[in-house]
Amino acid sequence: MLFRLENVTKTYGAITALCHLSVDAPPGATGLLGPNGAGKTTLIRTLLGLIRIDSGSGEVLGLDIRKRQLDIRQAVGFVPEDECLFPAVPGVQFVSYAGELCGMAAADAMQRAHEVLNYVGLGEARYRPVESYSTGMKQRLKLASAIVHDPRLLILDEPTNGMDPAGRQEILELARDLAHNKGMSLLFSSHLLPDVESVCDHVLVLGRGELLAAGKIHELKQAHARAFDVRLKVDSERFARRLDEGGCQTEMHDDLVRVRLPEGRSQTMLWELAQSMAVQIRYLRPQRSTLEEVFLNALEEKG
Amino acid sequence: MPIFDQGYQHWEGTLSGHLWRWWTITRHGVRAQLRNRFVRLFLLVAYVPAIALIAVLAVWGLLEQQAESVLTLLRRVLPAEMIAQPQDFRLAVWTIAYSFFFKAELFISMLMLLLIGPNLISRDLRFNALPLYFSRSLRRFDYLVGKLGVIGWFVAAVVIMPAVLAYVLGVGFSFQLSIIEQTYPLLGASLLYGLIIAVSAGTFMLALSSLSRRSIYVGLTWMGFWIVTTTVAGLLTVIHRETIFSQYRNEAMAEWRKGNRPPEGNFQKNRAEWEKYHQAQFQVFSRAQARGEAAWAEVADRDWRPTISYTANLDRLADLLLGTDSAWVTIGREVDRPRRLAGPMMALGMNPRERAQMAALLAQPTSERRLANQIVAQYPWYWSAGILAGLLVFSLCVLTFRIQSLDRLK
Repeated sequence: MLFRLENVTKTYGAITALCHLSVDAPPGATGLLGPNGAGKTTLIRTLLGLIRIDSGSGEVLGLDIRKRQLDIRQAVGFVPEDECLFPAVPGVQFVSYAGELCGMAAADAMQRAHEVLNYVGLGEARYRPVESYSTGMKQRLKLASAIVHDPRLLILDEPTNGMDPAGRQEILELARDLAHNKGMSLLFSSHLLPDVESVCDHVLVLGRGELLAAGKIHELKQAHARAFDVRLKVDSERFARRLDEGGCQTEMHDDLVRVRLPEGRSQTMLWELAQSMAVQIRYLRPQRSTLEEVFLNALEEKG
Repeated sequence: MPIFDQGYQHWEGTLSGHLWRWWTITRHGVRAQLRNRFVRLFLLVAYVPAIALIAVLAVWGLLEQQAESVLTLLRRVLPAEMIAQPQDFRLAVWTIAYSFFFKAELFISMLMLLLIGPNLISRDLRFNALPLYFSRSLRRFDYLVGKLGVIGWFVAAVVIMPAVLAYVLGVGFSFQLSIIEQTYPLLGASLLYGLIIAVSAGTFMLALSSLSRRSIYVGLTWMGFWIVTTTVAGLLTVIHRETIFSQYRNEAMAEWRKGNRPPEGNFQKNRAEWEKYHQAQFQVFSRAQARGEAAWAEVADRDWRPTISYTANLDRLADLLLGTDSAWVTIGREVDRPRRLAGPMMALGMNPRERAQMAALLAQPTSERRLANQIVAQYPWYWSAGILAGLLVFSLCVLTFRIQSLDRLK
């Protein structure tokens, strides 16, 4: 298990940031979703042992969050959301300093800094002062400094916030590569559902400090039994009209018909209608929920 | 297949424990500060007082060896007993030399702090670096000790290292190791005093640095604190001293004028009478001055005014650690006795006005403490220690409040 929390509660005065939260996250890439104030940042700080929880217990990488905070932070890499820099140093020293702060020997940290800067694509800019880096470069620099000591778990807090599409894509590719090809576990917190979907295998949805949904993304995005996407060789519009007459709900998307069958009917209805109209079905696929739908449904159910 | 994959490689090394994590911050901070050429230049300037100290200790070492070149020079300025038995005054001379050295180095270390201190925390606040520190295996304590270590390193470079270097060379010039037995407390005092400056000034500078994201404001506040407290303390002390002295002078002069009318006519027509009048007036004035000095010495141990100055408090502790007061008493004893003996003979060659001054001086009672009272602060050392301790507590409170961990609601 990557991390496990049991009945964790954290309050700030009258505000309850985490409310009896119990969650298990398996190794791999896990997305952390939730609206503002859902408790995502508090959860991350709890995992890092940066805050004192009111009640409950938990482990990160098998280390107790109440007793072994420093060991947890040593084994975990963290990319904070805010823009933050060690000032007045070139990139390579920035990363090497981050490595030394994690307990690496100075020579090891410097060698490793060069390697990870190459990896994140900042090899050419390594001797430039970090203040002169663009937003995207700073984000990649933070990522480099978080992985310099080769953590077992990397936590990314809103890593693509405020980035242009190209920079965002680079960060996502790096995160995906680390999670899927380099064997590093990820906790990826983001508002941007496509980002989470493109990087993560699992997702945790938080709302008002409670766990609203959790599981593998492809399982959460379940196939609907009565909703299908249909594409015909010709005459899609007439086909859609006939479906409407038969009690279905349809939507046209160019030549694609999105159809929701009435209660008690199955996809056989589509085949029968096509046969009766003598039209050829070229494409038929059950509709699946998008992650956005999963997210909104989870919030609605809590709502 | 590439010869070397520049992609991500796993790292197989081991991470060190948490105990010395603060040292990483100190090392990084020192390296960053040393990139500033003004800091490097200033480190060299800091060795000028050390060279003077080494020169004094070396000259004294040569005097102890009765080196002719040094004897020729010093016979004119030092009492004969000091020339004849320099070993008896070794500790006193070394102590006084060190006390002046520390005064100079205190000034230099204040300037050094002005150069290196303001941006230690304020720049981290400006660039929001604290989350980067505290999301690693680092505690607030490690962070603050690491930053304090930067100040400690530079204080050691300008105060402790030169003092130790001077000590080693001083011992070397004396050509005898037995000197260590007598003077080793000075070495301990140097180390302890450097530690006091580093902790006291360091925590206060860090506290100031944590209050603003702009280093310039921190620097101005530091300068203001240093200069204003020193100036106010100096002014209040002078005013207090002059009030005591003028009281004695005015009373004595008013009393004397009652029974002594000025001579008739102007100075040109009645020169002899006027000179006599002025001599008498001056003698009264000098005696009043001496009484004022004695009165001042009596109240000096209760005078709180110097404690307003931050550097005076540090100076007071330096005097305590070095034993400067007793060193000046030793020297004062040797200076006062020959002056008293030689004074009447010296007065033979003087003009009437100088003779009157000498007579007034000799009229004062013998005091081996005269120099010590004039040069060394006499108020209790624990007043200064208390003030510095209070400032330390205040600084720690500010740092605790300002350098928050990430356990706070944004």
